[in-house]
Amino acid sequence: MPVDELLLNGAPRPFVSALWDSINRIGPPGLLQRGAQRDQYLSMQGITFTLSGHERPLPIDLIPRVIEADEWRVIELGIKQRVRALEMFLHDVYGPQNVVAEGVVPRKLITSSEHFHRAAHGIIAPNNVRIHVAGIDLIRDDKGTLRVLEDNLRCPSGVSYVLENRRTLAHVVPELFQDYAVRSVQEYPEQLLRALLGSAPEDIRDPVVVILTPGVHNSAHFEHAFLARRMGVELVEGRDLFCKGNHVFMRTTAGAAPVHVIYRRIDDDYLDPMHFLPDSLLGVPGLLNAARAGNVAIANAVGNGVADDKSLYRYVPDLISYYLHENPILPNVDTYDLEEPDSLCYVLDNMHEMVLKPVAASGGYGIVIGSQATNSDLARMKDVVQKDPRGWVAQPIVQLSTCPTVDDDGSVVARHVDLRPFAVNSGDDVWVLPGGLTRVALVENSLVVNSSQGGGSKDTWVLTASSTDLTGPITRPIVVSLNRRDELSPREAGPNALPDLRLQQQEEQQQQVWPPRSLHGQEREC
Amino acid sequence: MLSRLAESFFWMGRYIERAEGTIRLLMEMHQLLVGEGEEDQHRGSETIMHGLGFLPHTNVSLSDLVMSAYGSPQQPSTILGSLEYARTNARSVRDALPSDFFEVLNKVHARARALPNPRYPGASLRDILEGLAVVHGVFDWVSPRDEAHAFYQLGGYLERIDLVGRLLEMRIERGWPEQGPATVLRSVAGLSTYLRRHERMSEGSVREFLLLDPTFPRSIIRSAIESEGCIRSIAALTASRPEPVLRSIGVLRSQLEFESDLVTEQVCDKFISQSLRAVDTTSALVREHYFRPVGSIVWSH
Repeated sequence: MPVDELLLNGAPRPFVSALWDSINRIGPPGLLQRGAQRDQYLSMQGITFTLSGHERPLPIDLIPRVIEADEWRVIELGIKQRVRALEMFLHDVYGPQNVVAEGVVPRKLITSSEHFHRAAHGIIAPNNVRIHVAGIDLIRDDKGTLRVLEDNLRCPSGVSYVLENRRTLAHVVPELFQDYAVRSVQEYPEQLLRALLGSAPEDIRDPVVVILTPGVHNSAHFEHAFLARRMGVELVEGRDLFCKGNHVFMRTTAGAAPVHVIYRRIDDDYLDPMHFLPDSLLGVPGLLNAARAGNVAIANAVGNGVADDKSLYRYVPDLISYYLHENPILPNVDTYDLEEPDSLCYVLDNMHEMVLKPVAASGGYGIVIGSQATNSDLARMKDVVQKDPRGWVAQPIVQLSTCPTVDDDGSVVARHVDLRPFAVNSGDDVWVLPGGLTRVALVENSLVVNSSQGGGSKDTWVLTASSTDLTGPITRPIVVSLNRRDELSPREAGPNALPDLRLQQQEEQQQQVWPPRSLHGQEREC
Repeated sequence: MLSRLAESFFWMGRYIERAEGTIRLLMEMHQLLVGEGEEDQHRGSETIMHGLGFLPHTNVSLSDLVMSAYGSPQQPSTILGSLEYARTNARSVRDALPSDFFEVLNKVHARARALPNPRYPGASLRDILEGLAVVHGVFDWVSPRDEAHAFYQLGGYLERIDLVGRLLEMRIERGWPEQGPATVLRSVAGLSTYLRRHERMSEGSVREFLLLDPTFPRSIIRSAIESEGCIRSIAALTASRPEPVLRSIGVLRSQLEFESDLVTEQVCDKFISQSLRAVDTTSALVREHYFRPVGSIVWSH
């Protein structure tokens, strides 16, 4: 039986009882109505996601997922730990490769990874950070334990929806926030900009940061534009940049302007036609040489994919103890190594209870869920896996936790969710955005939550520990007391305005303190 | 600013102005022609189609005109096309736009797309006009006076010259002596301004007004003065010289200002065609000077 995030045995958990009351007060017809308002808000704002070539609003559910402060503390520490270990792993892999020499990870795993790029050797930002932004996907199993499902260290996306989901909910169902002090998410762009500026070449006084996007037709373009706007940096496409003398410039109306840090939302393969796919029109020829010369920093670094490779995943707990000498705070989901004969046998015998994931794909594509596949599919998969054990990983099917979600008729139903917290590494510290993106499978019993396959999302609330322990800004408004003695005079009205009785009374009261402003152009004696 | 952004702002300005101008023109011309006999309707529709650059312009009925002007999202010279391209340009520079602007433009675009193909322009198009006024107003209210603003305005003013020039080339004020002059003035929302400053309406005085009155915001001379101003601002902001880009529109403006004492019909005609050429030349120069790729390196394998 899956665990529910908000309910226990059908009743609201103590920390969400006020929320549950508010939801019930709105009721199904109210929820439908708010849903229509939300859709209108989203399309007016142009908050969309491109699915199969069509622009549509990203489905965001009205009921938030709530995480208590104590649990968040553990998640935060676990994410920081994991990112630190993976940073050290990447340094090692593109450096001395001690982790291989000491037998922690087999060499073959690294060299056979399609994302291991020899070209990435020696290409690193001046502050040695490779993972500027990480998205670590978490799920909660049927015992209530949070586990890491997947690491995303290349171009993790979704953070713009985190920020917009909060604004959308506050706009459409503000009463849900009553009685709750929720950690703010709005400082993410600030933190990211700080981290990117920290990666600039050292002798530059005012480093220029840009976001490199594939363009408007990319499914995540909304996010690229959103972050550019919130950080106050230029959003560029490959054709806006060029390299000369191992420096990167952007084409402006005033000529060429230097660029020092590129937050790229383009895969390695398309980044530089001189080094990778030669027919890529999305990248910038010569970019890698400029980076190697230390004149531009590429964030996230080239070659990070070897560390979020699905085959490396089961070694990550070992990496944490090898590099940090610590026990992993967040456990993995059990994973079978199909190149090991016993494991392969076990998986083949129990295919109907397994999830099979192709190592090379992302976005949830190609996943086969044993319990939902037909017998002929399972037989075919057995064949495929035996022929290419390195290309697949197998995990027992985890009953993802559920969260109450508004259905098409306004009723509240349980749907499976996962969580993607985002971490920003500035070099000095790893900062974790409170909450992250909760993705929800909108189809009953579906376990596939990826937005690229029609899933939706929820606002994620991390509650503050108590009103005295504010580790971050909260969304409750702060009341400022006005000093009555310095009251400003009322707004001036034109000659045709009717006399405002309120103003006249106020003026009479003010006579002792302030020469009143006349409505009719006559000076009053004090 | 990024050349690509500047180009998008320039074209956004042009397309929004084009949408507004085309709608107004269509509404007023429809009013003019709808009560006429079939032959006159055909004559008028063909003239207007020709003036706006639509094909075909023979054997055209009034409803053909309406449908052509309304157009489709793929045709940039039509109402729907202008709105579509304005929005596409806005979307690609979304990060540099004030957030309100994109919302209101989106709203107008959605409303236009949702309209059934109109047989009669009228109430529905008036809605779109109002929406565009909001778009324009939001931009004016909220956007910083930087290069983006200057390019946007420049695009709008150049497009304005183009539209008024084409309108005058149609010679509606001559072809329909009774209602023509008033219709032409209404097409650019200039009737009440004209009437406050002049007593009689004649073919010649209306042409002169639209060409030479510096106080009317849609006159060619006013638009030329403003375009010049935008180009100078851009030059100042980019620390470059305005002269190369400024020449043809500057020459037009100074001729309109100083040679307009002896305005005959032939002189008017000359100025009108000069204006249309100036728009094309200036637009090409702006593109070459500010949007053309700088420092391109061609890699060969």
